[in-house]
Formats: sequence, C-alpha cells, structure tokens
Amino acid sequence: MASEVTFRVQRFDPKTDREPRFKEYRVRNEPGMTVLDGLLQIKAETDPTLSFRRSCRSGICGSCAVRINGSSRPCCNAQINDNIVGGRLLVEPLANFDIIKDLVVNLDAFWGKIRQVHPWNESGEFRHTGKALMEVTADDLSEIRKTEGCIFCASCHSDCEALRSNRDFVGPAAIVRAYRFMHDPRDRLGNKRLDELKARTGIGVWLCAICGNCGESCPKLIPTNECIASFKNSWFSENKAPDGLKTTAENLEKMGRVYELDEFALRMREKLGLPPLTPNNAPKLEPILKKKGVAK
Amino acid sequence: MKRYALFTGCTVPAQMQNYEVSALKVAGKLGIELVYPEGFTCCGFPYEAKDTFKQKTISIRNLAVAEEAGLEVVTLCSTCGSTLSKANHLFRTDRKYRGKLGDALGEIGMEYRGTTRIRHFTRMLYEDVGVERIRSLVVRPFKGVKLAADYGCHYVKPAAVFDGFDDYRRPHTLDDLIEATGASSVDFKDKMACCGAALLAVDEKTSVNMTKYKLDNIRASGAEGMVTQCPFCGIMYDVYQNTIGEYNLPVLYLPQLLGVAFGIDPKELGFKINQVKATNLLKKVGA
Ligand code: SF4
Ligand code: SF4
Ligand code: FES
Repeated sequence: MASEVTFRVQRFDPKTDREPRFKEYRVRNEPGMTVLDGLLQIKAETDPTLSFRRSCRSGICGSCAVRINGSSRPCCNAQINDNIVGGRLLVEPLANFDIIKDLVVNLDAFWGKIRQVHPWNESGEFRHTGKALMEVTADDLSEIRKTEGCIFCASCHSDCEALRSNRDFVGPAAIVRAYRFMHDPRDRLGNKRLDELKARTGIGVWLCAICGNCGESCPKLIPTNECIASFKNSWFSENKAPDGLKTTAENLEKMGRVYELDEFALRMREKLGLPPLTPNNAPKLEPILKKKGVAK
Repeated sequence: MKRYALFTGCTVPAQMQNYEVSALKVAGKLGIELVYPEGFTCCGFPYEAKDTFKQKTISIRNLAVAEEAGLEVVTLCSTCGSTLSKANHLFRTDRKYRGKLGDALGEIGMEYRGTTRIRHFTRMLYEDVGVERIRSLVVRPFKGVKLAADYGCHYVKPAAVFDGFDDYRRPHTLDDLIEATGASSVDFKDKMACCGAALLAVDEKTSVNMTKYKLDNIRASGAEGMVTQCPFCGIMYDVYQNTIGEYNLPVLYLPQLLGVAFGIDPKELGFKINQVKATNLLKKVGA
C-alpha cells in the first residue's frame, strides 16, 4: 500500500544561499522504496534543482552516502520505512566535509587521507624473482577480506567524532585501508608501513576517540575499531605510544586500577559510608599482564 | 530482594563517589541489593591500546568472578559495561577466541562458562524496576524542569553486543527515566556526541573541543541541567566545565536525580562532589 512521507532535505546553493536551509517534500512511499528512490522521485517529479550523488543504486559504488536522521550511510542501502521518525525523514549531506551543493560534498579531504596511507601493494620485486606465485594463505585472505569490502562511501568519516573536532585526524576509512595492505603478504613494505604511516599522519590512529560510530555506520560491516586497535597494539609494542596512554597502562599494571584509591578517595568513601575496597588489585592481574608479547 | 554484583570500575570509586553513593541509596529505596564481590579489577578498557587480547582476558576474568558469585553484573560506567559485554560476546560467539581466552584464564587457575549477564545500572532500572514504578515513587517532581540526557557512547555501542535493548542511534531509556521524575528531556543537536574523554591522555585540545561541542549544543537547547550515566562523561562535562567556558550547567548522575525526586536528602547523594553546583536546580523542587 502506498502512503506518503515527508522528506526534510537540507539545501544549499553557494550561489544564492548564505547558509544551508531545509525544504520539505512529500514523497509517495511504496513498500520496498529506499531513501535514494525517494530522492530520485523528488528530482523527477517535484524539484529538478535538488542535487545528490548516486550511481549503482545497489550499495556497490559508495557514491550516495548522506546523513539520514543524523547517521550516515549510502541512501540506496536504507529503506524509507525503517527511517521514519515522527512522520518524517531528515536528509542532510555528509558531515565533516564542505558542501558543494545540497547533498553533494567535497570529498577531497577524504581521498587525501586515503592517499596518505600508501594504498597499494608494493609488490614489484616479485615480478623479477622468477617465482611464479606468491603464497596467500586462508588466514591471510581472511585478514584482507575483513577490510577489502570498503566501498569508500565516507559514512565513517562523516560520523567520526574525533574528525569533527580535529580535521587533521587520519580517520577510520584510511586506517581500514592501511590495515588491508598491512596484512597482505604480497606487499613488500610490511612493518615499514607502520613507520611510514606515522611519518605521514603525525599522531595518526591515536586521535581516535573510540566513540564506536564508524563501526556502526559502515554498510559493509568492516570492524573499523578492531583495525584501529591493532595499529595501536603494534606501536605500543614498539614503545611508540603517547605518554599519557603508557602511564594509564602502567597504572593498571601497578594497581589493577587506573586511578589510585589515595588517602583522599579513601577518606571520602568512608565519609559517604561506601564499602571499603582493596586499593591494590595488581596481584590479581599480574599473571595475565606479565605474559610476554602481544597475543593475536 | 534482587541482588546484583556492582561493578564500580576505576573512575567511580576513586573520583566519582557521588555516582556510587547515589546509586546505592536509590537501589536501597527500590529494594535492590548491590553487592561488591571480592575480586573485581579494572574492566580492561584502558589496555585496548596496548594489547587487545590481554584486555579481553582482564574482562573475562571479571566475568568469571561474577559467575563464581552467582550474580548478574551491573555497571555504573557505560564504558565498563561495553568493554565487558564485548569480551562476553566474543567469548560466546567466536569458538577460536573462546578457546584462547579459556586457556589464558586456565593458566591463572580460573574458569569461565560464559553465563554472566552484564547490564548498565540504567538499563537494569529500566528493565527490572520499570518507568511506572519509578514514577510512582516520585515525591519531589521536577515538573517544568528541562534536562539534557547524556548516554555515553558505550551505553549502546557496539550495537551488536547489546541485544538491541535500545536504539543506538536514538536511544530513549535514559530519557524515559529522566521524564519519570516529571522533568522534560530536551532534544538537542547531535545528542549522541562523544565527550572526548578517551583523548584526554592523548591530545587534550581535541578532547576538550569535543566536550565543548556538546556543552554548546546543550546550552542552545535551554536545558537547565545535564543528566549523565557515565563517570568519564561526568569528568569532562562537570569537572572540566569551568575550564572550558561559563556554562553554569549542573551535571547530575541519573541516580542523583532519582534520589532527589524520591525525597532523599541531597546531602546523602554526594552533591558535594559535583563541581558545578546544582543548588538552584534543587531549590526548584524544594530540595
Ligand atoms: S571510533 Fe574513532 S575513528 Fe571511529 S568514528 Fe569514533 S573517533 Fe572516529
Ligand atoms: S570503512 Fe565502511 S563506512 Fe568507511 S568508507 Fe569504507 S565502506 Fe564506507
Ligand atoms: S548508489 Fe552506489 S552505493 Fe548507493
């Protein structure tokens, strides 16, 4: 059964507008329609001046991502019926980018970050070694596959909390890309990528605020946070973590807790009638933490 | 009487005792016993940067302690809840990982069968006590008071480990409990924005910018106070607030709000520890 739904769409034309504004459109909503179908209907029947990007209409090309009710995703991958809040659907351009027009943003910053991480295999030498094949095991492949599905839709970049406050952050998509090549046995750079990544991106992965948004916005279910943590673990094992985080880890090793239950805290607890706690929990964790090396 | 193992984490017992004491008082009022089993440590979160496997082992060890005590875990910190739930989820769904974690635990003479349930204090209130019962206990209604709900990123993320109890994009459980006191929970821009606490030890400027972003959006909404349920959000929005700007926005922990609404003397709810004084807000409801 067809019904109607209101699309509240952010518009902005730098030629005529000083600021983004919102325009509401009525959309005929038939079962199975995606948010992109809705936008196409608006453009075809109501307002040909509305600009947005799209190509494949089937979640492959990554060009159609927008923010729907505040969260980013390719809009051909979102059903209208799943996204109606209070009778309407809010459509805005991706965040953390400059707007070119309406829902079209300037993705240069995104691609710039991808380029920063050396996103290709350095495998040239193999062509001349005489060896016909390079072995890629099933385990190797599963690491590559974890991240290979990225369609560069930039949803994660748009929803990234750290990027909103610091556009220098290399961002989740580039880290995912770096992970993909880091784990490809055909790549000749291997661990050198770590140093290169650090040199090119400065504070790099450490600027991730661990908000968890990128993992939720990824239409391809890429474990972005796992990739980020894996780089952190590698640098940590080479003693290249930021000092603040080293201290935090040391506290945990020394006390089994991150904040000391000092005199002041203990007195406060007593005053408030809170139960006593063991100030030093380190012995409980020592057997876990003293084991050498980073386990996989 | 219902009993739960209270997982305090690190931040609450050392710095945010106002959260802990008010949770105990509110639980008492509701006939809930929160016990402190011997053996809990840090949840493991801060070790994510150094060694994610050891991090998970720390989490699972805590869950084994609760399993041994035969108690469900209730956390005060959104991040503790998420960290423990993540490890639990992995243990339950990934056979390979389960084996490795089991071995690591075996080496320290412990065992975990995967039975421990973990919930945030707020979720426990919402599910086991219910909004109606809480509403019925209110003697100091916050009628006409506008409050801003702050969930903490990890209250509902990663969504996959939280069996869909709340919508991670637009959660409502905390809002519902705030409104049970008669207050109205206001909407504001980017309501789920992150406080930036995890960056405090890495890049203070970015971290504080993140805190400021949310404080600005809350100010624009006209809210008279903020209600949080995460101690690290508490540190950023309450303890750091004055260094960021003049907001004068009191930040209450949910059980502090509920405690006042239930008629408990604010002195018993640890308000002394709140940096931004809630005096005017409390006066409004005659507390
Ligand atoms: S988890 Fe980190 S990288 Fe992902 S969106 Fe949040 S801040 Fe950005
Ligand atoms: S990681 Fe996921 S969300 Fe980010 S660009 Fe790739 S496909 Fe899109
Ligand atoms: S149009 Fe290609 S992903 Fe949506």
